[in-house]
Amino acid sequence: MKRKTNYLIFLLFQLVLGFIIIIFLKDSSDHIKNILLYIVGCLLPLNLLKEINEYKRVKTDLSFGLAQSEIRKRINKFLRRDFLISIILFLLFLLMHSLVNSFNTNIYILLTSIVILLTCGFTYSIIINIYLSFKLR
Amino acid sequence: MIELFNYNHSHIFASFNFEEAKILNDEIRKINKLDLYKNNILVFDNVEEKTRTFSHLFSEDLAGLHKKTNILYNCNDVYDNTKYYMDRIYLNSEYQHFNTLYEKIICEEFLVRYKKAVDQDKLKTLIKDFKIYKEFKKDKLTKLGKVLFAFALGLSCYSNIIMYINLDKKILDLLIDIDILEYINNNSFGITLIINCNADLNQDKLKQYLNHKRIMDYVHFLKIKEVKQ
Repeated sequence: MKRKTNYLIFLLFQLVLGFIIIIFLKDSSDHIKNILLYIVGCLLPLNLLKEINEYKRVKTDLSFGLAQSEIRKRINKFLRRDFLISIILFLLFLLMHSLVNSFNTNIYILLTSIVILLTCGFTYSIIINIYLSFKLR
Repeated sequence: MIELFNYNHSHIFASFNFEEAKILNDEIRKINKLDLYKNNILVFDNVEEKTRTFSHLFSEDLAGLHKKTNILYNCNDVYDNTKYYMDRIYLNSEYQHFNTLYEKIICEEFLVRYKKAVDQDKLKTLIKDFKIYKEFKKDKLTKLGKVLFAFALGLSCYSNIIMYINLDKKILDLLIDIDILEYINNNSFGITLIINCNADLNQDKLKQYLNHKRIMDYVHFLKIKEVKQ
């Protein structure tokens, strides 16, 4: 229950942060710069790095009764969930951005941003899985 | 080869055959059966520094943390064996798993995350009896505190315990002082203690304490002369 509340507070914080960035960049005409700032500035790193405690707890989990494959499954589940939420939030921000800037974004910017998000997400997932294979060897 | 198997659906035995294992010492080969549902003490004499590494690794092997250890449970490797993990908890008394001594949080964590039950009242009593609060400063447990907390947690958990202790003079005096064997023998689950004796420890005192109680199911003093890498 506490975990869910924390998660909702975290999402709310991200929404507020994203909206502040949008307002801040309202008059900027460089769309790619704006979108990169959304991704790098608040969405992906925050969502993915907040699970860092999970990785730190591997030793305790093994000691108290979670087998190696269960830990791997659990962390990958969190990664997938956070990544999905990152994309949803990003699309939401993009929509807000379009509204603020009178719908002047185009499909090219949208696709570029999603490709960047996917690349970041997969790279992160690969790094975490390599880290886990060392920890769970 | 070490094999752990169910006996009458209620016991887990570990049968040892160290021919293929890392150790070449006759004393180690004397261990041929270990019932994890009973109380076992394996005391490793720290004549050489490598013994500590061995005893630590041995405890982790038994807990199923490493691959290719030749330890089996119901004919399956203990490594990544969910059923085996549900039957045991592994406690390394040199490691602090929790930043709190608040028993409610600890019990909840065990129940939600590991699906294991902990006797909350017993944990509270043991924390009080062992005076662990004295050893808890700025969210950190002292060396003695970690040992005491490991015992408190292990004894309150409804699970078999595999525990590693790096025993020195101070810790031994404290454990004798609180009469830890009495607590262990009153516990309804098995505890397998893997003790590494530090060089400064008076082993006679430990032997005297263990002999005086005469209640442990299995006690073995082991001296390692050679470890095959």
